[in-house]
Amino acid sequence: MNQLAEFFNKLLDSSDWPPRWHCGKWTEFHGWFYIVSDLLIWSAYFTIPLIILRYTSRKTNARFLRLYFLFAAFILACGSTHFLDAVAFWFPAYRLSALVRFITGLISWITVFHLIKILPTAFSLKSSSEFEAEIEQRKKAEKEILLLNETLEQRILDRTEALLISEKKYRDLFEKNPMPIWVLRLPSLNFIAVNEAAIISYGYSRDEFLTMTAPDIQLQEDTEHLLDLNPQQNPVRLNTITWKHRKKDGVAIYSEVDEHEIFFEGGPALMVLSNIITDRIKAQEELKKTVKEISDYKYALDESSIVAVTNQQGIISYANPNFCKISKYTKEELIGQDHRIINSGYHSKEYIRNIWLTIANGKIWRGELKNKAKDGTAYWVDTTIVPFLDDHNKPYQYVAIRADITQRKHAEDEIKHLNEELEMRVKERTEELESFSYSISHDLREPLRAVDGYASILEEDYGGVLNDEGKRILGEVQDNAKRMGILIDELLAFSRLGRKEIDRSVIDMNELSQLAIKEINQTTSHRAEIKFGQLIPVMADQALLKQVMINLISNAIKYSNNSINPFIEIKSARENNELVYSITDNGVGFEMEFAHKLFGVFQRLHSVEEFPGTGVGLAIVQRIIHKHKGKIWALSEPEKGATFYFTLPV
Amino acid sequence: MENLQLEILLVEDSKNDAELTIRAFNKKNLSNNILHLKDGASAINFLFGKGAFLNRDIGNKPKVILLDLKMPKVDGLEFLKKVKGNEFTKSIPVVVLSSSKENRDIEEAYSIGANSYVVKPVDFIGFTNAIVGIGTYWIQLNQPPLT
Repeated sequence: MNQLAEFFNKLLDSSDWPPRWHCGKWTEFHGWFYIVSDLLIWSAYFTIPLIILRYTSRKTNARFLRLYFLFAAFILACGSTHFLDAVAFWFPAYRLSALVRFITGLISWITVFHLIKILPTAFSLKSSSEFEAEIEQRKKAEKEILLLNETLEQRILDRTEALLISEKKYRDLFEKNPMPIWVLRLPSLNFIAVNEAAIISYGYSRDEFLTMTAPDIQLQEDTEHLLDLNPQQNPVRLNTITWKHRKKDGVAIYSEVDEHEIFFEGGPALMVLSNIITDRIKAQEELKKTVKEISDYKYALDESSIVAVTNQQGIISYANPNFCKISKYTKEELIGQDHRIINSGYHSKEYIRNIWLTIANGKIWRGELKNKAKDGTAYWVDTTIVPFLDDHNKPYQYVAIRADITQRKHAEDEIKHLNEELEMRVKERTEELESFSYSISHDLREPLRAVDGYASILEEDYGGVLNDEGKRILGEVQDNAKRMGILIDELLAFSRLGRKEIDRSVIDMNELSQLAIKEINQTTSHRAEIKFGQLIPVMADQALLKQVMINLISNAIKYSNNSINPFIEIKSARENNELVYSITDNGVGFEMEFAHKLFGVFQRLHSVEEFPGTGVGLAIVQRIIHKHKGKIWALSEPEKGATFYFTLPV
Repeated sequence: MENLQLEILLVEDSKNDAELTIRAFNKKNLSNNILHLKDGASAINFLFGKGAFLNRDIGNKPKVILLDLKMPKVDGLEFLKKVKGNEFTKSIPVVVLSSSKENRDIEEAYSIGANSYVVKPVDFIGFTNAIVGIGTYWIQLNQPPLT
């Protein structure tokens, strides 16, 4: 124990040993070589722990940290022994040296133990090549993962897009659905979604809808009635209810509503499909009105007419009371029969066949039929048979509407009978008249000829014994006989006109006027200047119209013959659908108050002494013009000439 | 009279017309051999030698027959029919002299075979001229066949 105490007491005491330089034989070189080598080891052994400390202070997460410190302490301790060896050349503190060596030995063994302890761990540590290989592998794996990631992301993108498309598709099914659709939150009945059709149909904006509840668009009046109206009509759609909705502008609309409970946006909801049937309801109302109107018409028709309906084969399927009344059959007796039951046999087979031909071709037949009632009496009906056509325009039934015209028929028969009688009488009269005309032409001429003849013989044979007065009186006898002859001729001509048929052809009025003038000039000498321009041609009876021109022109000549320069002008003009011809003279004219007498037979405005004539000429002219459906008139003033106008249809 | 060639047979019921006609012929010296009969019946008898003319030489035919239409018993058209319907008499020219201007009469006369139709003018001068015209033509100008 004393030694141990002495050891530590004299730890730094070097007095027991000479400095190394003096222990043994050290050459200068050998000693310094030793000292320098020990100092090099020491300095290196002191630097290494510094580097280790620096390393560990920076690399705090390095593994085996304790080992680093042990190495640092171990190297530092080793260094210290070398330092003390070098110092021993001058300061031989071998006790301190021994202690340092002991500590070094101690630290060295601790390090050994620690090394042994972590050896298995150290074995498990990889070498750098192993690390590189592993890193390489890692990198490869990373790359693969990256690739996988990319594919995955693309797939996610694709999926997302598909989802978006699908979502849009279904959203469109809702949004673009032509039927108004909305979703109501249950139980509040708030609108939580509406489609465009609903917005358009109801007039509320989307934002307005979303602040409203279902009752806001309902009109309660009529609803019950509508509830009654529908279910039977639509037995298939039992959920369907017809509501009367109110649009934003206040207009009421009918909506047939389908409701389905759904789960929507996290809660129970009601999807509502609104089928707006306002038009249909209105059409139904219109139809009801039309049906009523038609039944009113039918009532009116039944009241006023005799009505029967037959099928295509002519079998009576309906007969109204008027039909029964006139035919004296009961409804039961008529229905199932064809119209032969009332056939009177009066009409020809051809006539009846024509009726069927007409109506079977889908055309309306109108006519009069004589039918036979049950008791055998005949009655007449004015009949209209209307075929009712199917989609192929083929008649599927006929409606016969009749009116009783028996009375009228009787009246017509009466009239016909009277007409026949009248015609016969006219014929008789005409024959009488003709034989009268014949008598005139034959029998009246003969005595006239005798009067004139014997007067002439008297003049010839006994002229010598007659004085002048006797001769004058004889002359008067002859003149009157001749005048009578002319009168008879003209009267006959006038009466012949009544029977004559008009034979129309196109007439050149210039040529005709020339002919007339030529004919006049053959029998009459005059000094009148007759002028006419381009006259319009006309359709008329040539011979008769020539007579008209002869009579009018010779009249004009006669009545202007006393003028200083007798002048006659013939003109024509077209007015509307008529041609107007005029003959103007500058003769004596007449007073218009007597104009109405101009065209009467034997009516004259001048004496025979003034102007010879019979008073038949203008009557003939008027008769001819009237026969042509034309008009004739005259305008004049005394001493200022006269103009005669006549028109002829174009 | 029987021996003379008969020139004109006048069939006319009117005494006045007949007288005026004959006077006109005589005045112009156209014929001095005119026979006037007052109706169609006796004219037929004359032509065919019957009745009052039983023993007449029927070969002695007139150069022309002047025929009135309106006559008692057998009228002008009937007479014409008989004359023109018989081979023996149909070549004798018949001139209808009538007061009638009716076309109906004119047409019928021609259709039966009248050789001419003249309407008798009412006035004497016209009448005389007509008769003279007829005489000149049928007696002096016209050449009938030799029996």
